[in-house]
Amino acid sequence: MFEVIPYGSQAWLVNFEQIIDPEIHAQVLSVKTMVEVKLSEPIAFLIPAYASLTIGFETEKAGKAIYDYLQGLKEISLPHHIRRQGNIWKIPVCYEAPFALDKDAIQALTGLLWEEVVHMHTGEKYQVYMLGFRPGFGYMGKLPDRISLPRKQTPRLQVPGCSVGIAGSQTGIYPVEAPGGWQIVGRCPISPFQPQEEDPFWFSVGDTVQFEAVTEATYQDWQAVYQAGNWQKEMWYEEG
Amino acid sequence: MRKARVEVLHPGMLTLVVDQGRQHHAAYGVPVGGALDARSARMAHALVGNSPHSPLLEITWIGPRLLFRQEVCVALTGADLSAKLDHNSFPMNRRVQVPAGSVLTFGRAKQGVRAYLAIGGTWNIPSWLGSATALPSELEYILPQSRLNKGDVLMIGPSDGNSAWPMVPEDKFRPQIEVVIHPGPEFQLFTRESLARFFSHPYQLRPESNRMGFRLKGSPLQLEKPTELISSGVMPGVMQVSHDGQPIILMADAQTSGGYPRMGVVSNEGMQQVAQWQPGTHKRFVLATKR
Repeated sequence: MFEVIPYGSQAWLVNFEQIIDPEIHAQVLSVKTMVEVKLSEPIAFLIPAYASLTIGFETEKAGKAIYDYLQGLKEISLPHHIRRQGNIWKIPVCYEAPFALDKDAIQALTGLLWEEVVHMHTGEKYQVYMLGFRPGFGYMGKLPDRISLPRKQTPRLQVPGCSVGIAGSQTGIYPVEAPGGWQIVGRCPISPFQPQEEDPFWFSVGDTVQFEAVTEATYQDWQAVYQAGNWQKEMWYEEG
Repeated sequence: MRKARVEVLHPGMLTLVVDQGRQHHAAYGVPVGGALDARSARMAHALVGNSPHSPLLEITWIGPRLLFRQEVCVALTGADLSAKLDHNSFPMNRRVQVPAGSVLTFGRAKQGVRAYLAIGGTWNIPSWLGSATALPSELEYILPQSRLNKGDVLMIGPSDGNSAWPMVPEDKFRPQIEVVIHPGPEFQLFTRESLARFFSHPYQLRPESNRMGFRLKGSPLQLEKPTELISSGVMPGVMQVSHDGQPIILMADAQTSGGYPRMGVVSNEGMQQVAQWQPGTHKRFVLATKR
């Protein structure tokens, strides 16, 4: 089911079958939850990813206890219900010209009409597999095969914040302006990273995300709501 | 007791307020941050009696000019950047009572790159997610005050009283040519020949290194066969190998996930040597004995 690999002297790498798959990821989350809830030893940090969990610790004693606990977990079949049901997000995205920076390239790569690309991108419920790259950036998947696209040959030096991109079978929202090679399909009116909030991140690993195509007018309305201080992230998700 | 005022007459090349960082938020993609040479930072705190979680200054290469308006207790550790108090050379790795009105200056980097200046007491500075450390690149706006500029003022309040750390760790920085490294998760994916070269030839630190990653130059590491990895968690100290075979050591401000093969993880002691590595100079890597 998984193996526990030494990762320097202060971390373990718990490696699962190395594929991008919802079932494997569910196992990652189950082990993460067990470690968080059941283990009394202090943990320095946890990084859940597609098919791995990195567990950091401070002392040798904690490391040993975590290792023994993980070995014990292999013996039992992990209850699926143990993991927290993530939030279910419905996020507006404007797929229109000023924001869909790679519209032409994507149409050429896929041979699809733009409406078809948008229909496919909004038609799936994505799982948040991992956060990384920048604070609050959620790696989501899997995209339908027809709109799974290679990264751009030459990465952009600056992808505007809130851009929604595609790379391989993954999709995600750039929280801030950053260099990047993802193919940009549209833009979200508000950033998934709100540093001034007590909880600055929209997404947690295990959340579900669906995108909703909106017009530029609606995009601007949401921005106005946000700028007036009337926006709350609860408006865009329900608890799972 | 009133607050002590420390005025920045000149900021130096890169003088940052750092602390232990924000490790607990790695799962959200937030870089750990904090002091690059954590051992020197810890020692400086212990010397002045601050908690290891307190902020202090990380002084890189060309030091600042600081005016102490009130008497304070300080300790300087890490790199030897030829510090002077007024016109006298300033002792390192010990507690020093600095008189009101004195000016601390720095000169040539004799040894290492980063010095750590702890000032005894409670620092009155903003923090984000439990740390005063700045964020890298586009996120610098979050704690802009943690990078010192000319005219900035640090206000140091009296010690909160429960921060007695009598044990001073023996972590005084002594430069070494060798850096101890543990095998990383993908160590076995590299050819034996290239690993043999890695451990028998020196590597140079390239000048385009920063607090996110240290780029090395030397004999390239080769994979047995081309491998596409699924992105996975990374942390400071991880040595990953880019497509051209050259190693990159992830530092405090690195991203929290990556897809390059992780050849090794630099030991804690080794990270002190890496943090103090002068660009253009060489070091050798030594494989850690089994823990």
